[in-house]
Amino acid sequence: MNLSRVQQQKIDPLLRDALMHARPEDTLRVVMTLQPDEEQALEADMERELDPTQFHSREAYRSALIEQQKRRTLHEISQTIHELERLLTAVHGGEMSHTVVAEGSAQQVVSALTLTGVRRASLDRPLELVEPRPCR
Amino acid sequence: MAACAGVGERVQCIAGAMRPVRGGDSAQSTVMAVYLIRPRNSLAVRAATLIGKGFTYPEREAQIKEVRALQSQDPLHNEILGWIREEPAEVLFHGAVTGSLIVEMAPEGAERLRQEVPGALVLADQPIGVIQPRPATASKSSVGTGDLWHLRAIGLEAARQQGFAGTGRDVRVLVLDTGIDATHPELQGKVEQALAFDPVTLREYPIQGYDSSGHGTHVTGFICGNTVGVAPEARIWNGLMLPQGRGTVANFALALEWAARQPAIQIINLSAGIHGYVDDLRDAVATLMNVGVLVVCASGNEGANQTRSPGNYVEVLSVGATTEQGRVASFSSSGTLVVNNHQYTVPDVVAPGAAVYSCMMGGGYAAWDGTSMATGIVSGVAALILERHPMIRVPDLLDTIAATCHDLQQVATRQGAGLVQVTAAL
Repeated sequence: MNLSRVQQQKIDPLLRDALMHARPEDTLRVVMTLQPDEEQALEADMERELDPTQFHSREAYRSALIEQQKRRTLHEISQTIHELERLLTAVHGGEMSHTVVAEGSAQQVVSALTLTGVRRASLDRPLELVEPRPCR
Repeated sequence: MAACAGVGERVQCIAGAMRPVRGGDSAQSTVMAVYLIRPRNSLAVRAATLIGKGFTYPEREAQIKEVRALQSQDPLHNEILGWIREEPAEVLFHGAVTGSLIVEMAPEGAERLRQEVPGALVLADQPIGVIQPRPATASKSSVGTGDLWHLRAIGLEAARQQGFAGTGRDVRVLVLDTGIDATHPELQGKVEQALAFDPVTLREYPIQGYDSSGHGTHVTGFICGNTVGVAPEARIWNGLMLPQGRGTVANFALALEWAARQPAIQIINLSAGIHGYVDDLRDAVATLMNVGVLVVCASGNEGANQTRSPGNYVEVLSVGATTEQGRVASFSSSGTLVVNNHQYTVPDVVAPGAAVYSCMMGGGYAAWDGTSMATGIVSGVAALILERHPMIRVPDLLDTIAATCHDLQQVATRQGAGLVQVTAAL
């Protein structure tokens, strides 16, 4: 599949290789990092930092931080998530962070890479345990 | 593979595989294979007793020179070389010291060599699998204080003798690993939640507490084991993310997202990574810090100048390993990184991780080597500090841990801030 320069700049070598050799209908799973909307991000930065001493427990403090983060993420990337949901078969995550896992055909992934809200995309890959070593 | 050197241009070489090689424009092809060929009884090997056995540099140089000379004079070795020169064969590697040859030739030629030069050992190349590292010490049914050097090294044994009663009570640690054997006597009643993150469906589902390979159980023992653990009253959430030690980045990213939404979790213990710097997970890890979770991560077991992600992210507490002698273990990964014009070193801290005893899946104890082990110990120390200072912010917690480390007088690129101590929890 053909990729523009902008699309190529957003992807890792594994995804580039996969897209180059994929048929348009081949299904891919991709990890995407989304670009927060700048205006919304600035607004979120102005939000008051929570003071843990104002809470009766760490759990309560964390609950407040979670709600704050959810609001922030919603403002920053919800537009891009909606666009991705329209383009792709499935989009997971994106509630707390700017990282989402997207699934779709190679053609759909290439289309998603044209979105300005998609900063970077990598092909899903194996993750290894840090294996223990033999004791000597 | 050495056996593939020089043939890469034609095809990717797979050990043991036979492949057709086309000559010029001809449609005909000959099946070729790779063989290891050497004299059955090398003159050089037989003469080894004549050669000095010292290990100094000049002695070793003399030995190599002597063996090379013997090899070149070995009539059998020369007969094999002469025979191969007359065959349509390609020498891929010639070991001047060992006398071994790696040769690509037709199987018929290899068979003829066996018959015509009976002194030649002709072995077909075979696929070879990596021997997965694994714990080598025999397991034992109990551990004594002599086995618990890790608790002494971090100052916990002395602190307890002086009346320190910290146990990490009710601090919740999510262990994203191979699972945890919750029936081990050291861990009974401590695993509060158990769930698996399915790498295929990308959904989480509750499980009975079990371990798919034993790694997670060993790590968790350091966090909260009755005898071997640092914070025996910490509560554990068992997140099975690496069944049989294998997972995927997508699954990991979603497990982190799930963890970020759980108000009860205060620490995440991670022992997984991708070689090199890969920033796919960085935003998800940074989010955890933003929502008040400390991420403690193994730096890797590949030694100096090699790191893994996420253990090399600036947002995690990256952990290397030390020996009982108070040195950074040779296998402990470390390195200097420059990310977005910011330079920093990995690991942040070190903790006991060489020959450290903890729980075996199914019962008993064994000593393992690894930065994963050190990571469990640091998570335990963090739990003690959080018990003492429950409202501490994560950046302050990171600073506190680093500020109270013991300087091992090794370079910062290897030891970070130094050996973790429990001082901040006292």
